[in-house]
This record gives sequence, structure tokens and C-alpha cells, in this order.
Amino acid sequence: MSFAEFVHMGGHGLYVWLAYGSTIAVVVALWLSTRASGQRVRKELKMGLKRQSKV
Amino acid sequence: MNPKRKSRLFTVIFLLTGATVAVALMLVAANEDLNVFYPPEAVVGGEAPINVNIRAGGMVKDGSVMRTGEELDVQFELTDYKGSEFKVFYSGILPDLFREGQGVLVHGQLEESGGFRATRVLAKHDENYMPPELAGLHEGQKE
Amino acid sequence: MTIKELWHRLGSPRWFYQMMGPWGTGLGVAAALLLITGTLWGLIIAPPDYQQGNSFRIIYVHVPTALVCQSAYIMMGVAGFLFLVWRMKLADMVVKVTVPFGMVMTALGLFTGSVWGAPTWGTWWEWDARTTSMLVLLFLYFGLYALRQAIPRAESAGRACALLALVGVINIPIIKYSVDWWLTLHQPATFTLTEAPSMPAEMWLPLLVNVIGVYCLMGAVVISSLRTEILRRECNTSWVREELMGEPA
Repeated sequence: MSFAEFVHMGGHGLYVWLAYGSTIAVVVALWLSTRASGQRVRKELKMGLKRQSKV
Repeated sequence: MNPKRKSRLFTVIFLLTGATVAVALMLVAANEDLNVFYPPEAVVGGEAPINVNIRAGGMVKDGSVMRTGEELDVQFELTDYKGSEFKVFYSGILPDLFREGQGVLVHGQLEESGGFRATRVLAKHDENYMPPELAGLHEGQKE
Repeated sequence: MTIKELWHRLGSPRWFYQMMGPWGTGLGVAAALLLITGTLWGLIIAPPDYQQGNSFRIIYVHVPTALVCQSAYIMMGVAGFLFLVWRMKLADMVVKVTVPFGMVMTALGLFTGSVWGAPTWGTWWEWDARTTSMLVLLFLYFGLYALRQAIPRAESAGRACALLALVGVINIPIIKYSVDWWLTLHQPATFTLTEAPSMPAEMWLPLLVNVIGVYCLMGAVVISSLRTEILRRECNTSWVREELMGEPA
């Protein structure tokens, strides 16, 4: 099987790659945003604590 | 369990039961309308309305597919393999999975003659998946 | 440890935060490994279907996403029940943090189903009982998200969401049995607990890998967002302060 054939998927390439592409992109984005919001909240809370300790 | 929790528990169970019963009654009442298509029995038996846009479904009868005249014109029969069959007339591109013995769903109107004039043909497929080599093997066994 | 002790511990945000960190990481790693394996397997090694050809491969992304969004909803319904009756803080947080995950997975299940329907059924969408009840699930998730935004008092918002989450569980058996109760365009289930899968092992094994993978993903995402939510809500307690000071920046 050549690479071109693999991409073509027997004429169903558009559908297969659309389904896989959207799923992979969305799952990766979901994971990154979950981690990012965790880091953001920790950072904000830590800054709040520092401010409190200075006062 | 303290009385406050107990009363909350009963309220929640009561609400949930009520909602379940309501939804179940609605589904039972709407039962027929929730079917996405009329089966061949309903089409032949006169349950399906005439000259209105409806959806009907069935299995494509073996040997019934005929290309008539123009290139895209096709007619075939839909059956439930239990004695109810009706003719479908269609002009257009058929889905890849359309073949004899396959389940299909047709959008269109039932005519007084008992024939169905389809505007769209959709292929139904079942949950049995098979690699091509294996499918060939099965075909071989049948013959 | 008695059952009562375990119950109280499980309900304690502090205990959950401190115990579940490694679990979140572990499930995240497992999810990544399983999903990469299952996806490549389904895309490259698994055979095409004798009728559908390569569009059959969409099953490996469609079934896991469409399954996990229903399980997430059931989990949320159970949490809603716990919150309504026992007022467990942690249960309210579960109801809150599961919504984005479930919403995204439902949307993916619907979208991949639509993309699969185009070449096989010959249509992107058909209003049958299965597709419609899945759309209802998506709107339930939207509703839960909007409801929490709409009610300013956190406690009232929690109760309203818990109730909606619990009542919405009724939709789950409807989704599951829609293909058996009514005539639909959608085919019956591929996987059931009681019967052998309706396809050979070379086809269902990658599917199983992806299904387990997506459940690990649910665990990882829910645990991670729960821990964030716990920090946010308990930020005025001394243990959170100690926790934040102890953690590397």
C-alpha cells in the first residue's frame, strides 16, 4: 500500500480524515485547556497568597 | 439517616419517578410517530398516507432492480421477506451501499397505484462488519 | 476503615485533592498510550469492511466518543443525586466539571456519526430516534452549562444543575434502546455485554483499545479539573495555602 493510497482511503479519504482529524484536534485541545486552566488557577491563587503575606 | 436527608431523598425519588413516568407515557403515546419510516407492511396495508411526503423502508428484493430508459432512472421492489412488497421509482444517484438484499430507506410519495415515487434513497446497514476476504469466504459457503 | 469513614473521606475535597493527583497523571498517560495505539491500529492495520470499505474506520472514533459521553452523563446524574440528598460538596463539583468533557464528546460523537453517514447512508443527517436522542443529550449538556452561568448563587446553581443532571439520565436508556424500540436508520449496537461482538477480533480489538482509552481520558480530565475546582473553592482554607506553598512554581 502506497502512502497516496493510504491518504485516499479508497475514495473515502475526505470522510475518514475529517472524522479522525476533528476527533484528534478536539481531544488534544480539551486536554491542553484542562491543564492550562489548572495552571492558571494555581498561579492566580499563589499570587493572591503572596500579596496577602506582604500585607 | 437524619430526617432532613430522608425527606430530601424522598423528594428526589418522587421527582425522578414522576419525570420517568411522564417521559415513558409521552414515548408510548408517540410510539408510531417515532418510527423513522413506514415498513412494507404499512405501505401495502394502506396505513401510509397517499400523496404526502413520507419515508418508507424495506429490503431491496433480489432481482428486482431494473434500470429503465434514461441513465439514472431505476425501479426496484422493497420487501420485508414476509409477503409485503411495493415498487419504488427513483431517478438519481444511489448510495454506495445500495444493492439487492440491502435495507434501504426512501423519501418520497406513495401513489394511488401503490407505487412509491422516491426523491431520495438512503442505505441502511446492519451492525455486522467483516473484512473483504472473510466476506468472500461466507459468500462461497452460501453458494 | 469502616464504610462510614470511607464515605466521609470520599466526600472530603482535601482528601480527594491529595490522593488523586497521581491517579490523574496515571490515567492521562494510559489514555494517551491507548488512544494512540487504538487510533493507529484502526487507521492502518484493521481491515476495511466488505461493504463500506475504508469509511468503516470511522467506527474507531465514533463509537468511543458516543459511548463515553453517555457514561459521563450517568456519572453526573449519580453525583447530582448525592449532592441533592447528602449535600456533598465534591459531588456538586463533579456535576460542574463533567459538563465540558461530556459536551465535547457528545458533539464529537454526533459529528463523526454525521461524517460516517454521508458515504454509507447517503445523508449527513436523518431525524431518527437515535440521532435525535443524541442531540437531546447535547442540549442537556448545553443546558447544564448555561444553568450554572445563569444562577449567581453557587449553592442554588448547584442544586438546579444537580436536579437537571439527575432527571436528564432518563434520556440515556432512550438513546441506548432507541434502535430496538423504533425503526431507525441507525444500526443496532456493535458491542453488547451479553453477546459476542458482531465482527471479527481484528476489527473489534482496536475499537476496544480506543474505548478503554477514552474512559481513561474521562478519568484524567475529570480528576484534573476536579482538583482545579477544589483549589478554587477551598482557596481560603489553611490546607490549600500549605499545598500551594509546597508545590513547585
